[in-house]
Amino acid sequence: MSSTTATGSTLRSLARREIRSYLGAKLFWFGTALTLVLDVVILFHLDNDPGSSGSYMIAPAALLGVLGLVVMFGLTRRSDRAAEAAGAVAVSERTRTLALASATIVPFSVAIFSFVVAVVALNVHPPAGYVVPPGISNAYVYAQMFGDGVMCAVGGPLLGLLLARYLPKRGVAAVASVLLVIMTILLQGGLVGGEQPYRVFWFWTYFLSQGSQGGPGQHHFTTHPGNPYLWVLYLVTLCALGVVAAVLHDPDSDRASLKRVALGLVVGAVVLGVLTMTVGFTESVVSPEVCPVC
Amino acid sequence: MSATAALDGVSKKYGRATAVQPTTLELRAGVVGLLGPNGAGKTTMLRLLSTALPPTKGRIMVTGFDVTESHANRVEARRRLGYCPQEVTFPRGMTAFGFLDYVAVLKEWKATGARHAEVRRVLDLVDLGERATMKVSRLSGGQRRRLAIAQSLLGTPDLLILDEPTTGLDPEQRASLRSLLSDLAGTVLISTHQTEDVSTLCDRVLVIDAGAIRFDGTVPELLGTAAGRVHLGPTAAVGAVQTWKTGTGLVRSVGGQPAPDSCVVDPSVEDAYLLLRSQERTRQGVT
Repeated sequence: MSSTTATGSTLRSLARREIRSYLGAKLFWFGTALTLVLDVVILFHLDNDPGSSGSYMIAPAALLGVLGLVVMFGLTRRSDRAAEAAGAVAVSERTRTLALASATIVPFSVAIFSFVVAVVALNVHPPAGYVVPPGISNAYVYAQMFGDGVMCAVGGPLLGLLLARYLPKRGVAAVASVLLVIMTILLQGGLVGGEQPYRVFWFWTYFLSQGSQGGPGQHHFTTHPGNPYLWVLYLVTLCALGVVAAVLHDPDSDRASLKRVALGLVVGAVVLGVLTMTVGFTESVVSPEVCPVC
Repeated sequence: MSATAALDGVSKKYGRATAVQPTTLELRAGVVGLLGPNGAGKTTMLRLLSTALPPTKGRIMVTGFDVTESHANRVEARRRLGYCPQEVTFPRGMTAFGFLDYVAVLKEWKATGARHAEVRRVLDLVDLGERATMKVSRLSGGQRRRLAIAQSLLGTPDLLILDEPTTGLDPEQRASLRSLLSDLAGTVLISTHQTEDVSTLCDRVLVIDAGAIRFDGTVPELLGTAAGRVHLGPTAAVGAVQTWKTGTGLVRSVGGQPAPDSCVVDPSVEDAYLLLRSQERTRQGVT
């Protein structure tokens, strides 16, 4: 009889372990270091960048989210290999998946810090020539920043977890992260145009940006269609769906119930995505003020 | 004495191929050796008993739990068994201690102090105590094999299932492992190609071929099946299953009609196994 000590929950023990493993990932620290350097640059206004507030959150999205995809993919494969090496263990794949998902608290914490820095920077010294278009509050800008930065920093690792569950092949994480970046760039104007309402179904988008609509040298701040508050809820729903889909992979899980939950989340995501497109600005609003230093 | 594990009419098919034919079997305390050629169904049998694989038909009881009945029963059984698969791919970047500590968490060792003590105990059991902080990727093949065995020993399981544990171990390490296994109190099931391991360690031998148990008995009983059928002489026996020239220049023949001037010698487990295999091949019509 195994002399297992019955104190605390297995999920809690395993979650602590996975959090430590995430903290031990060199790629995470590489991304964190670069993010924090950029935070310092933003906070002390070292670059004198007049760009949109959304650009503040590229660092956590790319350096914590995209790199987090690779980190979490590796941690999940590591967990699977350990379980396979033991043949059959009492702790289920579901518990391991939830423990891995809980490790996203690590990039989330760094991203929250970065978000707070960006909010402070925006208030202390907003971008030069920054003109708030009509109908836009600071909360509107914060919502975009939260979605682009914090939610992507969590969503990237969760996507890595999902990929490791369903496509556990070498190189999948690297290919997925490259495709993710390419798609994101294309959807910001290259493929469908950065002003298409349905761009909000992607994980990253701008609701407020600056462009040269008035011709060369005539930069204006532009509000894109959509509602960033609902978009944050849409991203939260996608993250929840990712966790449920990853848990669903466990053959011993209660798949019937999980499928119902997943279906509900899919419906919720679609509804929130459509609402994000339709509630709020339905077309781009270009600020009449020309940004003098853009 | 109740059975630690039992198969009741258990069979396993992969598509149309039958890996394990309907088998009924009980395992009690002691060391049981599972012998058989490659592809005989040994690993499938062990995976069925370890709850890693569901049977196509039949009922499997492990440490008192019907593992074919429910997931909850499988979990209960997994809490009481240790399994070392034949091939282990270790996680990247982990130390020997870190790997075992992670597996211990997966085996529900929650309290850190007790878990670390258990990890150190099994590392010492397989003589890897001094390699605890070394990355698994830097361990030799034999050391990795011992590490794989160590994880199966976590928690002193009632049922220990080892799939070819001595592969890659040097003679000293094999002897050390035998010593370790012989000291365990519960039921140990070992699949092996090393007949020497069976003869020196096992209380009971199962010979499996083509997915069916062809022999079930003690080592002396297995040796008894070959008694008087192994000869040493100047020339090979006619129709022998296997012959080979020994270091003395005499030819050892397993089965067949002994040549004149041959003498009967004591059979080994390997001789008995070869004769059993020969009978099975004859039964199947394979020449």
